[in-house]
Amino acid sequence: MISAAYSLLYSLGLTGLLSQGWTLTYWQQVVTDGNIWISLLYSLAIALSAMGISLTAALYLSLRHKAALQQKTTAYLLFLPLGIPAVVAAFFTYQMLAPSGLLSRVSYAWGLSESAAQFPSLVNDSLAIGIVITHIILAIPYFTVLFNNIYLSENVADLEQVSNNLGSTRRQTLRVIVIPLLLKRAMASIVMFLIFVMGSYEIPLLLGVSDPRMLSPLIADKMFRFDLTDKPEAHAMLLIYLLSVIAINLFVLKRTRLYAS
Amino acid sequence: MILAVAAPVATALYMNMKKYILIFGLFLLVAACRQQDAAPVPSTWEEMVAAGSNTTVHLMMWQGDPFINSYIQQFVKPRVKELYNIDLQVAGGQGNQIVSLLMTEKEAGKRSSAIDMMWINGETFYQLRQIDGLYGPFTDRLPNAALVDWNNPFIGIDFQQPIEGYECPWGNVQMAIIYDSLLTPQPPLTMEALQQYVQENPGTFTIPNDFTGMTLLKAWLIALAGGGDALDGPFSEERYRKASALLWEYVRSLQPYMWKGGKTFPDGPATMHKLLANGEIHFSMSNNDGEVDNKVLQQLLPPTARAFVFSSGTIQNAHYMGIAQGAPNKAGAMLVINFLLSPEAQYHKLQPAVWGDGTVLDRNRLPEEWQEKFNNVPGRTYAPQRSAIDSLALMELAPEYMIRLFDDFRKEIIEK
Repeated sequence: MISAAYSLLYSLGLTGLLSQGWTLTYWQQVVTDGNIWISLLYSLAIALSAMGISLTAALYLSLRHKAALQQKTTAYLLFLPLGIPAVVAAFFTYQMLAPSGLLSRVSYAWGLSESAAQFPSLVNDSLAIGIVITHIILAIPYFTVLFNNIYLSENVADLEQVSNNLGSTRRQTLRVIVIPLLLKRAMASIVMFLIFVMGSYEIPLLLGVSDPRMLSPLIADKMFRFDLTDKPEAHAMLLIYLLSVIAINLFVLKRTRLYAS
Repeated sequence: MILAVAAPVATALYMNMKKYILIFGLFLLVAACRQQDAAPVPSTWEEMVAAGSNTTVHLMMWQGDPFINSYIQQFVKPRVKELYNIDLQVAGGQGNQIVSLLMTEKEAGKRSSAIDMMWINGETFYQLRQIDGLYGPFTDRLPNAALVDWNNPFIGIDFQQPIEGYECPWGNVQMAIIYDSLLTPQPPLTMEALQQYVQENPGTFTIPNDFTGMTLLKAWLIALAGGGDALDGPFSEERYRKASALLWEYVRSLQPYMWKGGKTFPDGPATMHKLLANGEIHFSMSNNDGEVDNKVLQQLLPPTARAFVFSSGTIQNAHYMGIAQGAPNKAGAMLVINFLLSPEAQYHKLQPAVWGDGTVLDRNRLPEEWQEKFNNVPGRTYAPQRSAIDSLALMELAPEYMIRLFDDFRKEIIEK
């Protein structure tokens, strides 16, 4: 709250070394410029894509391959990405998917492409494929562990058994009981992941494009750039982002409560 | 990164506000207790040596180059320890981080800074002067300052702003374009030749969206404005508008043929060096004309890498050492800076196998034995000789040109 209040004062020209006094100019500039709104939507779209794919894959792994997850080697290989920092994961994606990367070279060696330039653009692309892939790699193990733990702690296997005894098909049990239960119990983590992806910095910095930009690179650019008079605008952008995060939190909390009731 | 941190913090604050207010309060209390005033600066050099010896000096500098790090850690650190028993502590941080740190300290009302001295360039000098973050004038207190030609405009003037003793030159460099002579046997030496090359070899050229990229655009802006000193002096909206219209027209003519179709731009020279080494692009660039030697010796670039300067010229500038206005150990910082300016330290730095950074000393002012040494530095192997590109050196422009180029490069090129 204190830092939000500080950002508010900064964005209104009421504090800061180069402050010229009360003004709404910075807010007007940020709101009318449009970059923050594009960036907000772009970041949300990337976060939702990464979340959707990660959750689907994690549900599949935790429900369909429970036995394999108990095996030491499989578990080790699957959970390895949990220990990888975001910046390392981003480099790994770059080395794999860049036009000069491993996949491109394999594709060239196998005669699937005639040159590196022909390889599809999977990093630094406006569809953010590289960014989404990196977040997925980092998130799948986390959600798999989470779902697996919830499955065990909530005795979901017993519920499945009861449902089957009452005549439900496996598909019905999954759709009506298991998946909603796992998602509901994991809701707080899912929302935190969504916010984490929206605010990620290193991954879009390395794998993103110059336009549109995700929120963190956009705001960091304004905050630390050559023109120090841009700082109040960066604080205004930061506040817009924080308000969006709080709005998402409130929305999800409300929905979760409605769902629970 | 800010947001990745800010978002969970905001949520946590939202959930557990009181606890965090208490922690923040305690933090402020501790910070206030650590507050101390900087010691007064002695008036004579003898007193300076006495006051600065047996102390710790905190230096903040960019640490992205192993050669530069090694020069500081393996050469400068032991020597200042030997000469003055100074414990030189180096912290990583470049331009914007230094400005942010000093700005935050000032905004928090902190009188004593966490750093004593820092490595800065013209961009940071301009920002630090704006926030009154630099101590000075101090260069006239350094005995080795007598070896510098302060009237040399590439040393005494930074971004069209006289340095007035608020920063001390450490090295002098000129922008150069790096290429692989195996891929490009005949590099394009003019803007027209580059245009033709890029059209014939699509995807092989790009401009970094950072200080280096803007420095290249500045050189092109000067060339399109008439060359030489056409844009010297204070910022002129009219001259900028005329020249920048031609510049964007030129860049737009290259854009569809640039790397990634000109839809995205690398974040800096380090990424470009990697792309060049991978063969994805044919040209990288650096603000240091000697960088190609440095990178070949580090095996980041192949031995076929070379560098050139456009015939219309490139920006030459110096990089400097500054002392923070709130530096707790100004005397110690001055002893270190004076050593960095010594013929011994400048000569060592000049060798390509060490760093390959141009000297700021005026060779005519050096004692004879040093003159001989400086004139016989092991030659550069891959970079053009300094004497060959000196005549193509352009002055840095007023800071407003850089601000406008950053904004307009985004508006006119990236977002179009």
